[in-house]
Amino acid sequence: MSIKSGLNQRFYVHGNDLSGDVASITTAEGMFDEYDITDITKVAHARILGQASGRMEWSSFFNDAAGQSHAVLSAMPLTDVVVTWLLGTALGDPTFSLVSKLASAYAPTRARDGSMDISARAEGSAGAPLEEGVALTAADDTFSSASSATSIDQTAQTTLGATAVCHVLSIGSGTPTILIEDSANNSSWATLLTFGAQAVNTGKRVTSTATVDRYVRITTTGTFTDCVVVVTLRRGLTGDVVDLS
Amino acid sequence: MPTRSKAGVVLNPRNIPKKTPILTEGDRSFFEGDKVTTADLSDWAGLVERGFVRVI
Repeated sequence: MSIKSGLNQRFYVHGNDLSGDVASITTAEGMFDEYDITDITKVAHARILGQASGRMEWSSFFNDAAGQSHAVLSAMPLTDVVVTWLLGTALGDPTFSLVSKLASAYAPTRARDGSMDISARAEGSAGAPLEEGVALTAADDTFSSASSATSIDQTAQTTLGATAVCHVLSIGSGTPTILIEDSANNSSWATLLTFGAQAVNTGKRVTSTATVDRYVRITTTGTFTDCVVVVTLRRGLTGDVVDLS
Repeated sequence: MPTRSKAGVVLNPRNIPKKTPILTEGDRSFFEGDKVTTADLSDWAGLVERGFVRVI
């Protein structure tokens, strides 16, 4: 762990890899409402926290290829959209994910110099704030058949549950089931979470209240070819807004 | 040091959906209700302690 730049990052919107279109990520914010409860005995403001939320804002280039910025964002879905930002392309790199509504999904602009930008804003919508986690895939991973990915060692067991996000970018054929497994010894593995048989070009967030062992990895099961996925995991922490334990 | 193998049955403490493996070890998968022995799982004690295996 060290100070890093923002080079070589990735950005996914509901099972679509928009990394090659995204020019900048202007906001990734977890926030609370706050209520002023200053009474007459106080000489400074007193406040308590209210509901949590999250917000992500980014700017994309105009790209009208299938599965790219124009096609994905101009669809302006009314349903929840999972947005994930990978701050690196290695296993275990930090991530931010948000289940959101695309509150300002499609606002293209054309500047006088001829450049085109699309700005988009996602507002938290699933009762969960912006969630920091780690990548269980190296950017995206391709599973050519049912198998397990390389594990990551998170040094210790935790007892406050977990949340995870999965983007399925493409499937060659068949129906893969994507699991997250945990292990105390990096050899005997137990299923921690399952995303089920997830459709292509979708994102999904799942939660578990279970104890999470030290090592974690992705496993795919079922009969399929060439499933490309992005998976992130967040262990529950003391003081989480949503207590998963 | 000789050891006596123990047998157990795989439980599903995390409510994993059916047809999804509860435990895996190497290339082998174990589902709810499967019979296992200490030879099958390298973390036998840990899995018993955490409720994935009930010794029979």
